[in-house]
Amino acid sequence: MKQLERIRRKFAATPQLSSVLTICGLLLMVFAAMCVYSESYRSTYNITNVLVQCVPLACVSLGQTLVIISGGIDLSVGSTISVCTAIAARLMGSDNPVQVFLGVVVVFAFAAVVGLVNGAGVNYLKVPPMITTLCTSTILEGVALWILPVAGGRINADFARVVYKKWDIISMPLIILIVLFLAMRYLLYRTRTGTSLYAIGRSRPIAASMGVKTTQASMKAYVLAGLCAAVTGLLLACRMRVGDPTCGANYGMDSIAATVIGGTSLAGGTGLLSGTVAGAFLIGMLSNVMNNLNVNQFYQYVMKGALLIAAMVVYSISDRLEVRRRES
Amino acid sequence: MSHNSLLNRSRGAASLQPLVLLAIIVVMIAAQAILVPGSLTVEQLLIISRQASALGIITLGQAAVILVGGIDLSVGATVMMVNIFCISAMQGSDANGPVGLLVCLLIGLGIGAVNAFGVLFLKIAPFVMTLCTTTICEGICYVYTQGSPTGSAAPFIRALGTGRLFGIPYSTLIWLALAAAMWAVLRFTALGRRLYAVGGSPRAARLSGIANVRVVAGAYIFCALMSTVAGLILTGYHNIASLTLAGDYSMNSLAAALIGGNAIEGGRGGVWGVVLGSFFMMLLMAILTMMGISQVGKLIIQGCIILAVVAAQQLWKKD
Amino acid sequence: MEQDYLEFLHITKRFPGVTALDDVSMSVRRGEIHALVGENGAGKSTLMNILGGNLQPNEGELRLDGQPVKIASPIDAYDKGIGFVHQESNLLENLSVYENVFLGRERVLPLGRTDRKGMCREILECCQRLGYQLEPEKPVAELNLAERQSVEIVRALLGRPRILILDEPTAALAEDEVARLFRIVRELRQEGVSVLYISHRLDEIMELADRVTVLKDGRLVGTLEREELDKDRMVSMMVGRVIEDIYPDRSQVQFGQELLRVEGLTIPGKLEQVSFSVRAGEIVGLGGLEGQGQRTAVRAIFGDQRFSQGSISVEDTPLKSGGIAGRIRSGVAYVTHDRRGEGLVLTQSIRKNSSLAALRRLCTPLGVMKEGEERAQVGKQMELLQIKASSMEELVSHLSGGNQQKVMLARWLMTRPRVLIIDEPTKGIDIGARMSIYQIIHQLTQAGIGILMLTSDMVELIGLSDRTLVFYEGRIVKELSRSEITEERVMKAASGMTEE
Repeated sequence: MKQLERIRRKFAATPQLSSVLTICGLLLMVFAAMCVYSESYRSTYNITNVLVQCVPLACVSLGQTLVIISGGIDLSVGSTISVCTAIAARLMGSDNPVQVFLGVVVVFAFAAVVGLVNGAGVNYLKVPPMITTLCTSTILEGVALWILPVAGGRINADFARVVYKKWDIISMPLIILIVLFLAMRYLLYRTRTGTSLYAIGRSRPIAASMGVKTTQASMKAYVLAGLCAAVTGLLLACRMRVGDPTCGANYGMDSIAATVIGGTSLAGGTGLLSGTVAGAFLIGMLSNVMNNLNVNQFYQYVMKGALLIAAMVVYSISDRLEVRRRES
Repeated sequence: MSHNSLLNRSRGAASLQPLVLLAIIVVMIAAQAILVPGSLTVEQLLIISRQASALGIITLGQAAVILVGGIDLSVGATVMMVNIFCISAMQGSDANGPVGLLVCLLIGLGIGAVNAFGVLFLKIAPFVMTLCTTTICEGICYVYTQGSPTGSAAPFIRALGTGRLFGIPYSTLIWLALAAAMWAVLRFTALGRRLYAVGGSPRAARLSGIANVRVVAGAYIFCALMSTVAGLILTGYHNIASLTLAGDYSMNSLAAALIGGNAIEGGRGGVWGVVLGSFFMMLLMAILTMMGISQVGKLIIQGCIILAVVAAQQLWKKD
Repeated sequence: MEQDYLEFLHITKRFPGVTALDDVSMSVRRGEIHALVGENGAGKSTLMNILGGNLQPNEGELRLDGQPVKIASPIDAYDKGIGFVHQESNLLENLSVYENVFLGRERVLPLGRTDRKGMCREILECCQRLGYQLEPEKPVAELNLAERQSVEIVRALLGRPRILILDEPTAALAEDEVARLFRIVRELRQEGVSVLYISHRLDEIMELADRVTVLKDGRLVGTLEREELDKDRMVSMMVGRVIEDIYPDRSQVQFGQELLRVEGLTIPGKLEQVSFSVRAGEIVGLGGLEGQGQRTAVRAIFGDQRFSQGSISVEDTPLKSGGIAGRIRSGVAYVTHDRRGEGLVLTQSIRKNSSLAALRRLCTPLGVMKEGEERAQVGKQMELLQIKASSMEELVSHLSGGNQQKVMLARWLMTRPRVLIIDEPTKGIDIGARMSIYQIIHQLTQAGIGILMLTSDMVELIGLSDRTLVFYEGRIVKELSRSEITEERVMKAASGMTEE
């Protein structure tokens, strides 16, 4: 009984939880339908691939979720990903493991600096997050093209192979995602930083008056978003084995879409990491399914937009129901 | 310092902003004349004004949406859609002109109405809603053209994009005429009052009997129609149907509006600042091109300058 | 015991256009309940916000235990042992009770993990001692006003304060909850905590306070010792003149026809069968604890809130749908309690704010503003209401609270209303402006306008209303005429108790 009560409480505290379950149900349904429909789809090989394809978006979306919960938004993650693949392709082509390792360090360091710049723009220059990150995004687009004018360079093949190692249904990218997810979860739900992020997302002045270090918390969110983008960048670089200065272009918007579909409100202060992962997988799997069904790939644009609208409608309805429930 | 002089200074700051921007523009033109001797001519400024007109017209719409506290990221997609369907409907012939214009009008009205519906009735954040319409419109364009659009514009549209009256490009004149009209509406009409009130305090406006829904919906539809006009001008100028012609208009119009002194939270801003903001953006690009700076350098400089301008405005406001 | 623990020395605080505190000095002893009284706008809240670190004084200093201190921020105050329980809840709704209580000073285990269980246990222990029933893991969004207040009290007390500020703590509490709060406050006094207690309810202060400091117009009037406490004396100190001088004499007022009639107004869970009427020239006051449905009722009347049952008519014409604009056309006007949040457009001038509700009257059929007429009308209202400003182009954000409130009145008078609803007519307004607003209200009734007034200030409710309706749990539980009304009877009814 006590367990039941805790579950009820959890649902009451996080109204988005039921939507996460809905998305997971939806995912399973799409998946089951495809498995019935297509023999090639239900092969282990394909399933592993589908999962792996969804991982890069899921990783960057986790960081985006932290920023959105804290009341900001990061439009620069896409360009950060591009720059990361470009840096990786320049530095990690060597056969010397030390140099490859150094390349990874440089990539993460660069992403952290991007996060610091975003955070400084928002917190010290007081430029609205959307504008700050839009500007850094433009700058980073330029930087990516400067480092690598066209797709090219090289990623150490052994390193790439390790990053993309697969064992049946389990694969290295999936493990990376799980580790990243657990780390983020710990940070968001179990530490002071997590509480601070929710607090500043709801109301910065109140949070500050209660002793939250608002600037510090907000900076952390942007840095973590940068680091998550770096993970995605490295994953993409290893998948392509080359760098591409424009490969991140869609990830900015897609990561926001995944976050919002996962039940995080753009107003800040509410949200769940599990929802974001589910949202990313939903977007990834639907694209994959449409490819599989030979649907004109351009319909995927329409699909993504429609999906996002549908999700928002469902949330706004459930929010209104929730308000009504509380009032009566 | 007395309360009164503080007051005068801050009121001065608001009207001063376009003047500061104008001063920056003059300095930039002077810098160009010095850096690239002989490049500064009236003709060159007219060309820049023509290049700026499409962005300028879109930014007028964007400014209206920002004024009521919203944001419209779908202006680029609207331009793209107008471009593709205008050419497709006109098939390079003036005879199909009315049909083509009707199609474009419907596209503009439709996108504006969908945005307004999503924001006002589905209560979707403007940012997300207009992002959704963007992806959907892009998808429709891709599907419709199968990725490779063809065709050319009707002659009268081409004239619209390239023609001149007394040496001044039509598109510049349209831009300035629309800006003047918008200024008059904001300055002299009850509608203007309502726009500012809804943006400044939606609750206060509602409690004063203003139909916020109508005002905000009007702003989104106006914005989409401005994008439609810009789409026609660009179509006429480039004379091709293209999936990339719409470029970065969403982001650039946002930047131009903010540089022009519109507050992202709504309720503040004017028309002439926005006009100067658009011109500033294009002038910057033109000068960078003239100085032989590569695409890379342009992106970096553009990002830095917009950030610097908005940051300076924020710090100024705090003061 | 008799030692001064906290001292305010010559505190002066100015806001644009108004001096909120003028050279105020007072002291608080260790282990005493020190009440702070004064009318709306007397400066109580400003003084407490200075102590709580929300505001910095322009002049003067604070001393704790004889040492000068500077309180830089709310959290600084907290660290210095000053707990602040706000009048309006200052909690984050998206977090749970324990997260709110420990926000900014979470108990941390190794690996940076927050000690959820330990924090919940501490809260439960504290609740048990105080007699509260709080579930530490419940989200604050699900709590009612009284529970939220108890969260704030727990938060304040877990910081082991030596000074506790309670700002209007009983505004939303029923009688038994008030009794519990008093018990807690007395226990704290036993433990040597100095309690600063702000209230509008003089009966409470008589019961609880050891000493009372009276403020008026931002100046110190004086401090009364326990044995000097006397209600009439407090009132005359607060008001500075006899009550009759502040409130217009309404004993001779004649009422006309019925202007507003509300029948059976019902919103499930909020309002139940609310019926009343307002006559021409009458001031009907709505009283009760906070959140008992008064505000919901007037918002329903004004068309801001939908209702499921009931009817509203103005001058015998039933109001159909048509929302707020329709109500305005029918002659209903509503001055909100939240002037800055939902009344004024702070980025705009007096002129534009004043004409906002009457735009239709001031423009041509094509929508072009008739600016000359607008200026003339706004100018007339400014003169009538004595709005002090350099010109009608001055931004409203630069005005004092009283002048801002007058701009709100100007806005609504320009719509030529029949029924004027005023929600908290004098919140945050200094005494001069208050008196002139009372005079304006009085004159409006003489011109045949019906007034419906909501107020949480008991003195104001009693002083101004011709008839008072007391709300409790969404119903009108008591109607009191001018001759029947007393503070005690209002409080009894407001707590849901019937008179024996």
